Amino acid sequence: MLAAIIQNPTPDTVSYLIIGYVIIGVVGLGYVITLLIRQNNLRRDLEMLKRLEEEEG
Amino acid sequence: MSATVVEGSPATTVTTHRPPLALTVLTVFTALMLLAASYMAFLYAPTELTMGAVQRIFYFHVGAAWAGALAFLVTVVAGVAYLITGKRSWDIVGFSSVEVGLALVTITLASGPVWAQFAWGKPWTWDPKLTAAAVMWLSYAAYLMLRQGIEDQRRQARFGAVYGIVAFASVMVTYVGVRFITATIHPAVVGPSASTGQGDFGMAPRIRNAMIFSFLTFTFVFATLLWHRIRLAHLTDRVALLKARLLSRLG
Repeated sequence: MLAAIIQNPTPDTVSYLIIGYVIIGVVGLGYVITLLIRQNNLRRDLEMLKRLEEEEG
Repeated sequence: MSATVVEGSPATTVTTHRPPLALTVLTVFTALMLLAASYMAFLYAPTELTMGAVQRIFYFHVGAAWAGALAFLVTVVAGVAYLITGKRSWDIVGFSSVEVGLALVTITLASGPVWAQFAWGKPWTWDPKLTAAAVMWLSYAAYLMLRQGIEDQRRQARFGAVYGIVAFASVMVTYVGVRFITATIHPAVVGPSASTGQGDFGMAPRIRNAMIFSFLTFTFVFATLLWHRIRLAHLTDRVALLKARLLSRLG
């Protein structure tokens, strides 16, 4: 085992790690942002509809 | 904003614009859990010897996969509950859980190829495990698209319930079925497997602890997102109800 480690040192794969977590962050945050945008749009619609309903009496 | 009661709605509910305190606490707690999970993935867990830093992708890759499967299981439970009770709230839980699950599985499917590029020399291969995962993703993406095509809410809910139950077969194949196949190169990170995947790694105690913590974190991520998504669905129902009410007055 030790000989194998000495012969094959741990590869430098930090760039893969960074790319991987950037993708994870983009997908995760992207979904959260779509939730927030939809929520804000619905709230705006709701306020407008409430106003219209009040105006209609 | 004060509480508003919507009566006569299929989802008769009392909601406010501001999230309840419990949801706020859960959201903050989940964010802290994510920070802690990041610490464990990047600093606490040792660097795996044969793969190096890229192995750390597994903490979030596998955690998201677990939470995605949990989300689809919740859809099954909600589907059965809807078919028994006919309550709109179960339908909301079902499709909300599919949407959150799909986002989580997207994290898994999008991050896996980065690791695979290093471990296998190519980002994707039509290996049984990967193919099954892709079919699972497509099945649930189709669920959301097909639902949109049905106008009647009750039919939409019935379709969603039945589809959600049947589609879980793809989850079983992806997470359990492929473990019996020897011809897969995908490593089995958790649990037994018939295969000897390319890129298998042993679980040192700190790697195992970080992995368990990641599972726990993503469970909270799922619960938090689901709760937010359910609130969004209730808000959508309120808007639809108000629109219908206004249109009937005008018409």
